[in-house]
Amino acid sequence: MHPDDKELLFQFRVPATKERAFNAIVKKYQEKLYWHIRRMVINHEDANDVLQNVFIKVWNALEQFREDSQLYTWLYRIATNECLSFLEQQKKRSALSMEDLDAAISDKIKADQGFDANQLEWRLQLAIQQLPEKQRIVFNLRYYEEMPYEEMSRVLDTSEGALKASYHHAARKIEEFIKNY
Amino acid sequence: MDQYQPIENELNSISPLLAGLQRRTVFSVPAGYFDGLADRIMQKIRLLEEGKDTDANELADVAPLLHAMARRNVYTVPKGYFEQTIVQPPARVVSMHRPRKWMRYAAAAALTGAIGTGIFFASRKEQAGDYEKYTKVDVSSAIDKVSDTELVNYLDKNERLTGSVDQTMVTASEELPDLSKHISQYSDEELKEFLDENKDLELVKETPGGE
Repeated sequence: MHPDDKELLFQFRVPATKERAFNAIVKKYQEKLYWHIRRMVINHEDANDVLQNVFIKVWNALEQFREDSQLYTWLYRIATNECLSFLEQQKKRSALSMEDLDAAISDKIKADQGFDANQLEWRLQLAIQQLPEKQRIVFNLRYYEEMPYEEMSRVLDTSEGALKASYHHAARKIEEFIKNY
Repeated sequence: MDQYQPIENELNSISPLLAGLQRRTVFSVPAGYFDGLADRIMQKIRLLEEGKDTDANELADVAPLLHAMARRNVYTVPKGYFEQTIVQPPARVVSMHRPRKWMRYAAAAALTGAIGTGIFFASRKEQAGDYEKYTKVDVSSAIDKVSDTELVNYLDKNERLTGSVDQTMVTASEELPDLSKHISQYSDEELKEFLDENKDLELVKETPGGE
């Protein structure tokens, strides 16, 4: 059982309990954030780097965190921005064209130990990678995290209507891809 | 859970195929990855705060001798260099929107051109209108309406104008040179040569009754 966020935030602001509170926050959210990042960057090593950077940023900024939003929403916001920055840097570093980059991401998925092209769940992963980055985030947050649009709107700073349209569009594209694979 | 029921219903309406899939994580993670992750992150934060960041640790692994060497400057600096107050003259402020003279001239020329063209077309229109008006005037019938007395008075008043016209005409005929005298100055060859060069004038010469 994880402690309450408000209690953890209070403990974080007290120097004597700061590290212990932070440790508890990491333990509470590490898996959720890891999977959110992993579905975007695919590779475990990359996901590990991005996740560590996220928590370092959290450590540095948590004292200034205003409790008018939920800690959970704030953490997802940082993780999403870190993912997008990472993918942007990857694109800049790579000399590959967009098509080749898409193929490289598909190759990363196929490189996973458990990959099985006959399984619909793996085809689903390949289909998700065909989506534009922001649409991919919306789909993942709704489909896997079952995040309400209201909350997602605070994470992505986008209107609920736009998010809903994006999710519907993404789901249809994915279904089309799976059927034709 | 009731909270997620609308999410399920929504997906069912968009894509029954996706709604029917198991939402399980297919990617593999190294065994025990999450155990001790919080401690590893905390350790990294401590290193960063102490200034012993990962780049320094990397150097220790790659080149221990280089890492162990004292990181002090070997170059010397003139005595009291950093104590000197270097007063720099204030930088000249360069306006981002410096007015350009040629632009002013160009604007003035364009304005003048526009006004000039306008006046030209307007006056042409007026002139054309006046000309049209004058061509419609029946001069002879207008003169018929003027009495003889009025005409005489007008001519008397403008004697200078009418007189000069007469004088000019008279002067022109009186002062014409004597042609026979004038021609006699030239030899027959010169005259023949002149006529050869101006054959079209021979017609005048051969016209009956011409001198």
